[in-house]
Amino acid sequence: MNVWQHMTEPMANNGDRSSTSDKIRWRAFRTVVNDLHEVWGFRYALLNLTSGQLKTTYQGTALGMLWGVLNPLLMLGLLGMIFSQIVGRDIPDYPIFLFCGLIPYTFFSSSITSASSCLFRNRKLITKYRVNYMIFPLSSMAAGVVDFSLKTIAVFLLLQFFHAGISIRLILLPAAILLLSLFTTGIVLASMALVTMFRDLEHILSVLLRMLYFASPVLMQPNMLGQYRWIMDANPLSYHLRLFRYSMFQRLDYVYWPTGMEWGITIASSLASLLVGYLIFKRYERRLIFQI
Amino acid sequence: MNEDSYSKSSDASIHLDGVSLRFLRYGQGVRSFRRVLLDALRGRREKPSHDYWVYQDLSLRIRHGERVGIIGRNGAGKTTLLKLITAVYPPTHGQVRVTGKVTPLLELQAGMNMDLTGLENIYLVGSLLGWDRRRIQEKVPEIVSFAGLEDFIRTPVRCYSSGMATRLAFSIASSMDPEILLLDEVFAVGDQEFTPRAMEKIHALMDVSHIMVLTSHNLKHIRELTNRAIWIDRGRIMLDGDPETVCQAYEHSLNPKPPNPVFCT
Repeated sequence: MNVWQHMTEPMANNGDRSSTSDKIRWRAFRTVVNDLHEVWGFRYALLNLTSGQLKTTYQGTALGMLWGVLNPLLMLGLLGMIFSQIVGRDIPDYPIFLFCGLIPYTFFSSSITSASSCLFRNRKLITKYRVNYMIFPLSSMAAGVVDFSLKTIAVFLLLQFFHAGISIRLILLPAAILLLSLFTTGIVLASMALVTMFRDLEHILSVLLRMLYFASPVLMQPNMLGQYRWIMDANPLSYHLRLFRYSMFQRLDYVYWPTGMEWGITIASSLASLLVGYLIFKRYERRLIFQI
Repeated sequence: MNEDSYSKSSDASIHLDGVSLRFLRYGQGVRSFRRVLLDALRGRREKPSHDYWVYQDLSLRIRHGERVGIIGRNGAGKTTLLKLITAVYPPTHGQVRVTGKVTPLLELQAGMNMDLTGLENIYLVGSLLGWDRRRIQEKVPEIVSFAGLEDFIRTPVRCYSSGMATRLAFSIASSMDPEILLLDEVFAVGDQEFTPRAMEKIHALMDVSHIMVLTSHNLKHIRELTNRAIWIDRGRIMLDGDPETVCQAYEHSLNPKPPNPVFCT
């Protein structure tokens, strides 16, 4: 049992050049399988870390979960009141529009912020046990998804006061949550590795997230940006937010299904983010322990 | 101990082949992206301020049934060696090959979450050690009664006294059947009632483990508990062999002259 072996093992070179790319492919495949196997081996640890994090978030009280949901709702209500008078005049049902953008965006940005420091938070554990580092961002993501889903339910109930209605499009909601979670997981893997290696990236990251906030359709529709509309159109997060919004915004007079291209962009961007995030993580994996 | 009783499972072993381990530090311990970016613009690379080889070309074989004591001064690399065996550190060069399940008893409280209850922590730490749910469930009563925490097991660990937390951590870590047992100076656990029981438990663990590696500054422990001692100094093996011989050589290196019997009062 040598857990680092699959990465230290030198490429067997017996002069057979034609099969080199096959070997690289085989090695990449083995690395992925090995990682999945390790994470699966730690599935109970993953579960326990997740429930631990949820308990810390909700402070182990019955009302804690309620507060976790009420807090952002009050904030949302305030923002809704203010912005519906400023930017929202051209958007019908602006509070609903805003809620359906803020909930997934907050999930996205808080997942990244909390997961980038997860190795530091678990420093003692990592320097004692050999664990696959991926269980920390994954457990942080899992706790985030549970929190996100609860808030979505709460907002959905609240939106009924604004006559958001219920329609068949609700079946899109699980897909929207799943795709956004996968998209976020990839970014989280990369940001965890990079922030651990270069610690000042944490500050740069928060600036980037703030910029992304205005480059995503959270407060505004793309057409409100005028000639800068392309920024929102080029941002894959916009399509994830829109998919989420479609499934929550249920008024019958807005019956509208996501187009094939929108499905394509959300699915492709999730897979691309997972792949790139995993590659960045693997690039730094062996050096992370020396930086925490 | 009957050596034959071990051979029912496959033999445990630890192989270190030409292992080197290098610690790099940048600036105040962390690398800054701003610095890397500026250096990249100027076309140079930041040099690590601290470039330190803990081990260079270390080869070591530990076979089934051996009880190895590791001695050496502070900073000699004793704990680092244990962490190489646990695979916490990836070797910079060389290979570490370990057959058998490694059970580290290093920093006992490392995996615990203070916000969770004692019971939840048993599940958390147990799962980090790689046990499955059913195995932990079976062990829970034993762990709780050994720690003597029946009344507090549903209380968050942050409300425990430090002694109670240590007792729980020790009971969890010591409740499995280790194949390769790594001990790092864990001989002072808890109060006067708990310490003898903890010692007894450690001895029991040593008896069932296939390989035991122990670091200690207390040469008495090394002489009593091991059948092979390794003296490490600055990442090099100075002497490897019979515990008595190695301990004597080590003691001699610490006090070249016989100790002065005059004490200040």
